[in-house]
Amino acid sequence: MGAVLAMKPILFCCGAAAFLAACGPMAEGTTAQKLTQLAVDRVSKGTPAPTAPSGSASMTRADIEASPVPIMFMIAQDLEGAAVVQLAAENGRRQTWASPDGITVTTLDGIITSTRGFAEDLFASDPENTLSVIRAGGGVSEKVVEFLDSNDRIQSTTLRCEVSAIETLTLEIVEIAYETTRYKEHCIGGDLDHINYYWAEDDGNIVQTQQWMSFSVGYLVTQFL
Amino acid sequence: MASVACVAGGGVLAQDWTPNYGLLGTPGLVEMPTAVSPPEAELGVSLSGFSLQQHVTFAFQITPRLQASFRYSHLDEWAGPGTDGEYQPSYDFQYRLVDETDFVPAVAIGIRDFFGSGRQNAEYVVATKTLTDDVRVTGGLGWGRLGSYNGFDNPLGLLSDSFLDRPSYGYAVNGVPATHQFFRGDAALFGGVEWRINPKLTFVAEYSSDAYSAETGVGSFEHNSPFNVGLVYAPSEDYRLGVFSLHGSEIAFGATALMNPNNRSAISGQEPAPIPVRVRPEDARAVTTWNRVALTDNVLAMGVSQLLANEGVVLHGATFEDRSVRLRYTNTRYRSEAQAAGRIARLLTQSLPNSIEVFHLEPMQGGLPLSTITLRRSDIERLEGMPGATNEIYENAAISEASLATPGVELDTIDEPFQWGILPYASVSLFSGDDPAQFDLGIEIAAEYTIAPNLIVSGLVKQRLADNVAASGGGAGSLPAVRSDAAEYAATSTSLDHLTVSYVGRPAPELYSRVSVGYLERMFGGVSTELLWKPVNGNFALGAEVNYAVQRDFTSAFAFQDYDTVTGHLSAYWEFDSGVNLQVDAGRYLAGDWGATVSVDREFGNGWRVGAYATLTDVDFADYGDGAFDKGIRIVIPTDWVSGQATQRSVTMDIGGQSRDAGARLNVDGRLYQTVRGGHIDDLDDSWGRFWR
Repeated sequence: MGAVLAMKPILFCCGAAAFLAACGPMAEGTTAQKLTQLAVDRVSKGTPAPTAPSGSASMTRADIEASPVPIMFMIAQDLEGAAVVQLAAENGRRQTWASPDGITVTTLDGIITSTRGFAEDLFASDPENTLSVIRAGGGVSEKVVEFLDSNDRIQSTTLRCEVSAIETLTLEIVEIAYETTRYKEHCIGGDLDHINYYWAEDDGNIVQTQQWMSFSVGYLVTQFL
Repeated sequence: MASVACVAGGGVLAQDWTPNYGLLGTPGLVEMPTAVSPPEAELGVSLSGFSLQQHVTFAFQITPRLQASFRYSHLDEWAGPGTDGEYQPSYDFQYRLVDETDFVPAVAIGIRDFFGSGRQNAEYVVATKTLTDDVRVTGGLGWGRLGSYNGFDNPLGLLSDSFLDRPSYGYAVNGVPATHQFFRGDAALFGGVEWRINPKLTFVAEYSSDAYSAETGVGSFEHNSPFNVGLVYAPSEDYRLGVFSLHGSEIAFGATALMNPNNRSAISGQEPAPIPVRVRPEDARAVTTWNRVALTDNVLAMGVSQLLANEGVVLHGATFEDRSVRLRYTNTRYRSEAQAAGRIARLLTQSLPNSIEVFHLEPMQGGLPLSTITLRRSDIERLEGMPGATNEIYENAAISEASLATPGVELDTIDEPFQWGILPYASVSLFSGDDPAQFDLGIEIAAEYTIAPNLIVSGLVKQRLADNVAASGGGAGSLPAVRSDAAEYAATSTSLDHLTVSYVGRPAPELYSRVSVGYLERMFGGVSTELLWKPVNGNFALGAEVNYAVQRDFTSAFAFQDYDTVTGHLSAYWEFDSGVNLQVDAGRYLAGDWGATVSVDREFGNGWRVGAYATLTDVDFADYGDGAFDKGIRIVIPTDWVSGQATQRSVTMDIGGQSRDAGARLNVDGRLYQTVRGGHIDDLDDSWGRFWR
């Protein structure tokens, strides 16, 4: 699945923060390894920060443009992993981003709808209502999230989510400045209660998110490059 | 008990305070039970005891209210100081009759040592009420062993005088349920308190109604006080460690490990993500065929075969039509055939011509096509990643009989028909009769020659390195020694375990057949035949097995002894929606005895199985010997539940079963029911949640 990289806590076995697909002598000096190192540098350790991931200064626009397919930067804050993942498939407006070590994340207009390959995936969700509310500048919406349970059954929960604009700020992502509004989404339903953040431009285009996935994965941060 | 209920006005409920496990490895204080039930499906495995008596206990919460336990005890100095101890299995049951509310305690009824001979025999009714977040009290009335200290006339005597005296056990051997003793004889009160000092440490104190009459009677135990106290430390949710002061004379210890099949650590599994769906452009869906000259069926089948190999799927055959494909394959990686089908379907969207809209997937196991799962490609494209997709794809899928026709393209998947391997083996038999553990360790050389997927020659040679296999006990010896010669067989360090030719087939719709010929198992050779009727969409199946078995020589790999017999069973299998699987096998056993085996298993969607079985034949209990008849429990733990990695392997623990001459069956590989069921609707349904995983 291409050159760029990879996340999963288990991969940290070959070094404090090294990734399988760019481990070992054969990977040295490759674009993959470079991007990996950038990703590693940007791993947010310790307490999850409710703000933007830091340290994007060391990646250049040229690095990104060298990639033959669209790429996205991702941090698993609670798992202490980070990766640059690439677009692997499109199904309508849904885009599936893949890492070579076997994790995929699917987004719809920038919001994560599902993951595969984590120990506890977000199995499915529909963020259409969230997108509408963000485009309207805030409000209340409902969304359905699904998880697989220990007995191979799907558990479906309807969340009630309150979306509000928190602040406006200029977000720089690898040499491009975005004028964004940061939205806070507080979702409650069943035994779930979590907060997501979205950084959206005026036209509703989402450039960065911080979303809760599941109890064992915790938060994923995505940044569209 | 009345006083317990009176104090209980505080409006506090047990909530998340799960029970402690007492000295007997079941929910309790120290020796006395409580009415609190562990979470449904919790399996508690305990090691506990003091200098005189030690126990290993497996306690399983079968339903939210019903718990069953198996305990294997070493009772030292049973006949007095200086005498050898006894090993005793015992089975307990407890049923919660009343749930705790703000004003009513939980109430449960229980029987200890259900099949016992009086060693641990006891019945009780117990009530437990939570008073504050960290204090709960228990009170109860016990009979039998729990009615032995400060006992009084049985209140049930008001109903009938027959309750006033407890008759003697009266059977020549242990192991027969002593129903005539239940709730009879003197009764006594017991009670106690649990105080949760902090989330990890609980103090327990009880007034015990167990007088240790038998032990004090022979002078092997000193009963100075009815009071027991202890501390239970829970370093995590998975462990409990306890230390107890027992009757003012002994210090006892207990350790319990807790598992629950309903709590899988890697819930989704750690296997890599599936390849995403390729969606056909709108105009391409209307195409009705492809250039079948340029892209022949053979070439296409080879391509699909290579693609599926990445998912551990072996393609045996493919039939292509303009708008559909039928694939026959063996999934070697995923426990769930539904998951394998989901992955195959997604791979097919990547590789098949756009005109192919319908996928007929035919999973095989053991050389047998199991079913046809029919899916629409446009559903796969439309539903990927959507909430509700799991249900919708299930509703739209058709699950039917596998085709009886030969595939259009038969792939020569038997690249290397000869396979072999050398592996260590360990066979452990736990808590059977007088042996806490019998083990047999060594290395084995396995070889297999696949003539066709359904015709296989298979052999296994074992080199034993260490064992403590002993002759299994028996009674008067009126039966042929079909299993009790285990030690004679174990005397040879190198042995041909089995060497067979086996053929499986589908003689007609809904029918599966098997014939195995050769050295079937270590003790018997001959011919084994089996026919199974199992509709794909049914939850009921019938089977018939007829074998001609000749006893093998103790030492020579190929020679036989004089004993031969015809043995076989009619079997019925039910899978209930509640996850309970019932199997009844009735027929003639190896020693010529007639009878039936009943097996009940609680099965989980994730592959866990916890069950019990019992075999009753026309052999007298006395002839059978200690235990009266064969019974035991069986726990199957799927390896992927533990490791999170996709695999079809599992670990089976057989506990308490006895390999005696009565009720013995032939050990044949590849019995049909377990082979076939994974591709049928009940099992597909159980794990359908993994389709999109």
